[in-house]
Amino acid sequence: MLGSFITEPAARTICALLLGRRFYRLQPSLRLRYATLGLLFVNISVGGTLTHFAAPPVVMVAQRWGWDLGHMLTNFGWKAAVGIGVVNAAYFFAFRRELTALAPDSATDEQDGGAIPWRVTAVHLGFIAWTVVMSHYPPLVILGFLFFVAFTEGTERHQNPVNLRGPLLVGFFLAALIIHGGCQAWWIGPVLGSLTRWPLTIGSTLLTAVNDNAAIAYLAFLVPGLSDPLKYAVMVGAVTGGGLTVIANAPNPAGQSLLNQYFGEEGIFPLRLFVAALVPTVVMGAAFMFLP
Amino acid sequence: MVHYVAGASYAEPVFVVVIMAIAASRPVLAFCGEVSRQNGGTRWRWPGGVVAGHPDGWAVARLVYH
Repeated sequence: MLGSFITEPAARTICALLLGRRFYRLQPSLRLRYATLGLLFVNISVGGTLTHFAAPPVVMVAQRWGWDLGHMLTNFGWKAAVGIGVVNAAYFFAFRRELTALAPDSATDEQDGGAIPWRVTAVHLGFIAWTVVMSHYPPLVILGFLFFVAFTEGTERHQNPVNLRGPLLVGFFLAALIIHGGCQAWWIGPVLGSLTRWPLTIGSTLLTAVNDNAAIAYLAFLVPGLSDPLKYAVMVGAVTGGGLTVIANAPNPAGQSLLNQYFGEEGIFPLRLFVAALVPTVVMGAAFMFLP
Repeated sequence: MVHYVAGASYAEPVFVVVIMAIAASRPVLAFCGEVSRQNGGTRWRWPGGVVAGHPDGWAVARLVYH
């Protein structure tokens, strides 16, 4: 749910790094690793619905459909919070024996290299805030990033080297997804326009798994005469299905690139991720569709 | 001013590259870890894990601090 405020990509990066460094290094079983990965992907995808500026599919249509912060909180946000609470509790009880059996390890990577002055941390949080606020203005985002790079050079003793390989690969992947996802409009648009509420929710969820959910939301916007309940249904499908595959939600490639190393030489296996994310997806979908 | 091309904003990839680089920086990760650590010592330890962005935050907080 942190993603609703600092945007999903930022939350995904922080989550994935903490998940890897503080949890996966305790050597949980492969089953538990995939379970937490699926949970993470789905949680981030639905957790961004508390606001109208964090989740990519919501951003795509919020202004056009007149969805503001109040609308998102009352129609999506609280249901997402309930669903996340339920599914996390269920996973904890399902894996409680394995979780408690893992050897605690209080040594953390971030403690290496000494304490970090609060002023440095505050400046970094300021850079995050700047980037989030200016997220729709690429020149200002890049300007802020240049200052960030300069700041990290000036405070080198408190920093790790800025590694741009992963972020750039994710950026290119997203750009390719945007280009090719739009080419699917010829068949996705008519499909979305021909469905009723429940089939639209399920169809939107499944389509999200094979296409970026922001693209699905945009294609739904193009369907003429879509009623408010159907707009809600297609958004529910887009956000709940956002954890099923790596391409389902824009921030997912970031999580995959950071966590791939913890899944052996073959990396994250798509089918296992799909299966792992299926239960949280169903629970979240039920929360959105059955809660009043 | 948001530029859309066929409904998609190409600001998103630029934003993701920058936000990933900043969010992965050592001070930010240390801050999130510290928040979860401080909350881990209270009866309300689960919010620390959630704030830190962990899917099973409260369970992992329990693991780390006990």
